[in-house]
Amino acid sequence: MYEKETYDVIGKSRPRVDAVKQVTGQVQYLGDMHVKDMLYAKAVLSTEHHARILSIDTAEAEKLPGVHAVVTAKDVPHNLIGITLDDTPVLAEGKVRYKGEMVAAVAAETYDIACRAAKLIKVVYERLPAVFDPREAMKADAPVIHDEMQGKDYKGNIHVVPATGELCQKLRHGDVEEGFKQSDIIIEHKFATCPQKPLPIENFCTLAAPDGNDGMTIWSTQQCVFGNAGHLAKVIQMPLSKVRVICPAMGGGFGEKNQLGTEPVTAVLALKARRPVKLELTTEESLQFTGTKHPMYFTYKLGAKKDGTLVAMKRECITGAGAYRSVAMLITMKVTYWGAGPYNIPNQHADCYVVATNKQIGSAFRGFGMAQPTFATEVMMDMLAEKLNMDPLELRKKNIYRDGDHMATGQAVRAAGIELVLDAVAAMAGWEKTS
Amino acid sequence: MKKQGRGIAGCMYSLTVMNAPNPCSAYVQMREDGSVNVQTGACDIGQGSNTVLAMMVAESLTVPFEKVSVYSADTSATPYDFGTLSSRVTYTGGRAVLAACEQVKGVLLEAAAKQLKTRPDRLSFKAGMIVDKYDAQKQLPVAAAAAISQFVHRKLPMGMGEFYPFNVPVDAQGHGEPADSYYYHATAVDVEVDTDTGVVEVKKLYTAVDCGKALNPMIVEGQLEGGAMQAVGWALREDMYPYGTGAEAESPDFNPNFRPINISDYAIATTLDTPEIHGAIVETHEGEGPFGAKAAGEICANSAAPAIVNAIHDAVGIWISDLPATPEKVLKLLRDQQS
Amino acid sequence: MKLTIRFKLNGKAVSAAITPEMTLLTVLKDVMLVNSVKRACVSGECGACTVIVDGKAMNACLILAMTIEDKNVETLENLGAPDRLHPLQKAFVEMGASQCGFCTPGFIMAAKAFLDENPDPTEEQIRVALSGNLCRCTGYVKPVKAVQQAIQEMKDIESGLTPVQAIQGAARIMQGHSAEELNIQIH
Repeated sequence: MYEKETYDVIGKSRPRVDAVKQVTGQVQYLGDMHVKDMLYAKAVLSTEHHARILSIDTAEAEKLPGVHAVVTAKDVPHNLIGITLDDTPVLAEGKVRYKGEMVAAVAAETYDIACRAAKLIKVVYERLPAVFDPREAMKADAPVIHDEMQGKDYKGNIHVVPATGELCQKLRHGDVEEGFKQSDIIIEHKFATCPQKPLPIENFCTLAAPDGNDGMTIWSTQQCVFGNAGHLAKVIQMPLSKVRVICPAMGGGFGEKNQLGTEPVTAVLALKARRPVKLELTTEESLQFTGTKHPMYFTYKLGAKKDGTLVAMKRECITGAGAYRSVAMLITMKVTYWGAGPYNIPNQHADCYVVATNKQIGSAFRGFGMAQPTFATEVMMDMLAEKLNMDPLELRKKNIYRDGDHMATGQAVRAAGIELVLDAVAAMAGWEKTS
Repeated sequence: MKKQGRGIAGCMYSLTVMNAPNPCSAYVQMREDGSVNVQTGACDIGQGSNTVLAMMVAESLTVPFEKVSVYSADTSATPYDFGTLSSRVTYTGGRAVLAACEQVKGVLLEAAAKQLKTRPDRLSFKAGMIVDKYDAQKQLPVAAAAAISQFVHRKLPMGMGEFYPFNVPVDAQGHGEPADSYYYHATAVDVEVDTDTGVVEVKKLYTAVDCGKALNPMIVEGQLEGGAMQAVGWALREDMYPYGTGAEAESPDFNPNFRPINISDYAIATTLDTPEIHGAIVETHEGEGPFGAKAAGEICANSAAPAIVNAIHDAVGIWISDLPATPEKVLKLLRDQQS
Repeated sequence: MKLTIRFKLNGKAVSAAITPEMTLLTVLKDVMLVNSVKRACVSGECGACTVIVDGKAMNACLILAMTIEDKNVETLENLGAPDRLHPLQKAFVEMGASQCGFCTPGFIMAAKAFLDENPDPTEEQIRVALSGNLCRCTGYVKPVKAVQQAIQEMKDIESGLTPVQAIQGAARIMQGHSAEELNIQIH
């Protein structure tokens, strides 16, 4: 759309609009923002992977001079929120489900007072057995993480797919068993990927300021201001039009800042203290509290003809969601549809599960849902090339999408650039046939 | 002993959010001096969307880039956007701002036609001027048309654009058209594996993206290079639960209390860990994208990890089945291979 | 216990009331409200708070504020203004060496202190000098190239080229990006 024959601006390299401000130190990130009467906040994070909260004693913290508000789950107007399921507490209630989960928070005149007050909050836990590997968590005798949400939303630790009520998301294309019968060669392998941290250099930070008695302005490191304004309005029980969410300059997000982080608790502190409150996480807190790339566990079976033509692929994926659902269902949807890569495979079958564990919550991360299956599929392709004694590039080019092909979902392929990018890297690398 | 190997991998990625409605909207207003305000909910998280959206507006209205100011990501002052995610901002935001620009151009053409005593359909935009295609004598600077429209003809040169990317939600079997468009990426790497220590070093990395039309090639290069380094980190080092992910089963060495709590425990790449990176931009034409563009950001982090694992196999004959490919893992597989 | 320290901030004599445990970062960020200095890891690992103290690049988060009495602290604010950018700043802009820009002040200050002592370094030396500054966006390719371009420009200026000629020299490097070559362009 909107193409022209020649362009004046489009297609030409130019510096970012804010580049001069950046190199002269004039950009205001959240950490550089100060407003009048602003209080500083500190959060108390869970020290247990899975535990019942027996008591939270905030009396000593509240008595400390300079402390204006201490909040726990009972201070949050609406505590449970989520993206496809409201299972995530703003502050832990009854139980903690991962080490690093937010349990309480304080707002005080200075950051030092807030830190001292946070240390005075005494949380007594009763440790529960924890599970970290989703394959273990699927077993019948595994400790159940969401015991109060069984039935419609969870079956044991397996997340029930909202759209279908089933335990996994499915892709069915052609007849996979028939495809394996037609194959000259079949290879099978298991893969797993680790939870990488997005780790933008700027940590999560929120400044929430009450706007009179009936509104709230929230400046935050937030990639998704409109979507999350809705969740925040619910948390503090205000109409959406009264909750203003602003993202000033952001010091990198990479998906970690798609989900809510420091916003809800900061808003609740501001509500209670009736003053602006700023909560800036340290890197240590950020590493424990915010999300990671989802670890995924794959079982693959791939069938092909002797000449390298792909015939059938069967995949099982188990996504480790971590303690709460967040975006796990969406990320696994991508694995289901497109995990087989940019290849024509006439017979496909995929079953993809989402399973709760006591690890940190999985968050969006650059490459959302495709980095993990790309790893598995692309290593499978090389394994097959070796078995067939074929050049890995040639094997790929024999099977890749070209315009007019159809994906396993049935969608038509247009503007397929896969051959061009493969040729480009092969040309740069001086790739020569190895077979 | 150090052994060399090379590997290749390719991948695909969807643009726009799957199945769900995920619109972007924008207001564009030309001020009486010919400068332009753009407001959109889409957030610039460092990837450069404010720059690219401003470029699109400058191209559309034929005004200098420096005269366009983009204000973004404020739920009370900018119109709705679904969020900076799913590689959607250039594509969806671009379509929204350009739709708004078309309305602005319509207003400017009306004003210019009245002023030049001609018809709007005879006029076109050319390098900051509105010109009569059939009578070159009749022309007016775009900025003058904006001022005349606002003050003489009582019509503000402003527009509101919105864009809903296409999708057909899938059924229970996975059939449908879940996303609007797709883009592609490939990586080739040269690695060196130290068979005594198990350390894998990426020596050279070649990365290419099909981003549709490259609106700002320098920004696309930045995505190629930064994405590559995040992928190298994932492939070789970065793990929040070390030893916790095994292809067959959790390792007996796994201890959930042993987690990185600072950056040096976690070890993201520094200037000293960067291989020689060669990037290439491949342009295809996406008919639905703004000026033929697709996206460039996320996918650049996706194909390097398998390329590295394939290169390790090429070098020493082992298959890494679970990430990251730590020296311990490489050494263990090398020992298993010998016995 | 409150103490008063006196030091030079960007050439100006200043004083600040501090407590003994305060770091230079806290003083710059929360007392003096210096915008360019960034707080991130607060443990000397990321380099986002790099400032120049008596000519040496240092992490402000690792320095106790008391120890800077009488010392000269420079931040990015002292380097150049938008209308007269330092060659390092100009090169970072032109090369696209910043994306989110959060680490950029630290990078430029570290590079400035290094180039003041080593005006003609190798690429390897530049990489070592910047290895304490972390960036998650760029993969370091463009920041390192920007430092190399700045060195070239500083040499051009020193060798008597007019600023206009020097800028033309810098523009040569930008020519690699012309759109015409871009249907598979290798840099």
